Amino acid sequence: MNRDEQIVAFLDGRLSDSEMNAFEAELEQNAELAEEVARIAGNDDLLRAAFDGPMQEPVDQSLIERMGLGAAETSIIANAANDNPPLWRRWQWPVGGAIAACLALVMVWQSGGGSDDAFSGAMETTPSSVTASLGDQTKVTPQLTFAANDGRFCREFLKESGGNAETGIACRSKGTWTIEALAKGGAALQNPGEIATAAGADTNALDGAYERLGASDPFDAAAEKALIDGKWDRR
Amino acid sequence: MRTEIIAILPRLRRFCMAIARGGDAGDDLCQATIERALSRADQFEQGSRLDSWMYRIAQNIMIDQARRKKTRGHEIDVDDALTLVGDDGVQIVEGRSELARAREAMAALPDDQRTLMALVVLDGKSYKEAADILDIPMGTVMSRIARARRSIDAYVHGVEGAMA
Repeated sequence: MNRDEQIVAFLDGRLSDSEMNAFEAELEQNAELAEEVARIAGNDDLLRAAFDGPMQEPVDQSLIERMGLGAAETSIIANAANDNPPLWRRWQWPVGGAIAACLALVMVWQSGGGSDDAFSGAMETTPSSVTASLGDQTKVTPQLTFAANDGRFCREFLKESGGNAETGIACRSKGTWTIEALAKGGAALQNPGEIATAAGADTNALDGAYERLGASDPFDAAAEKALIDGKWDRR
Repeated sequence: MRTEIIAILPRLRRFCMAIARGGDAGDDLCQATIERALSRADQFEQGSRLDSWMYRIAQNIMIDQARRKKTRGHEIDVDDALTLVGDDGVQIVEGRSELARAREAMAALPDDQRTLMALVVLDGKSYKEAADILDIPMGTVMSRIARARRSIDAYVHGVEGAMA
């Protein structure tokens, strides 16, 4: 390994532990080398900034169509060109007051019952408003289905387990449904110490997640059925 | 597959922009890559990485284009371009933004080095992943990326401060 290769191997984390220790010791002794390594690392940062444009641009419908990825979707995504706010903003909690005074738990999955596989399977195949059993006295009921602006399909769901009710959003990636946000009814909390973020009583706890995901209007029943029947493939 | 492509679209566009030497050319390459990927979706190995597969397609399209240009005699000699920059590159690019200079530095690299920089430095791929995508040995990845970073350094900071 020549000196240039040593530097890039250091920057790219390719040195073994002993090589890393030796190189770091040399960096402390050799100011010229340290300066050079810092400069090369700075060049890398500069390059990342120089090509960051596409990473910052939102993936919206016009981009998707420009890239030739739009044709199959227009039949599925409902036309949202009207003045109404997206349905999720108007949507009301199905369980009333207990959940309206809710606490948001983002990216935390701490409810009991039902394996990840069972949950994923239920989200994959269950139409909205239909309740699926996950075993272990846990039930999940998808509430609605929408597309996130990163292209993933997402569903809001209600999960009930032994008197606890939770509502959340899960999104599909590579055949697996992952929880993006979770809100728990305040009255039914069993482990209040684990609550990370509290939301006001009149705040829709999932609003933040809907904003972050750039949710489309929900699909109608026919579009949702087409997605389920087609195994969520837009082809 | 469309959904999965949309999920990686920002990274795919960045990769294409980096290897195609320019914003519009990048999106043209990205479109062509997506078109080819969709038409060959049956060749995609389920369970393997879609991004790696599509990066490989993009790179192949670039190679095809370069070959066509060469037969028409339009290819720029990148070594000449680099020498020019080495002599008075600092003067040429003076007054332009650092970011524009960084993009020019990438554009001045030979194709194989530029692709590797896009994979490792921009996309954060490991040497192993990059070696698999480009179908080259691991040792080649390290020497090539060292040369690429030396050239970038020479371009951005001028020959005086070039990497040892």
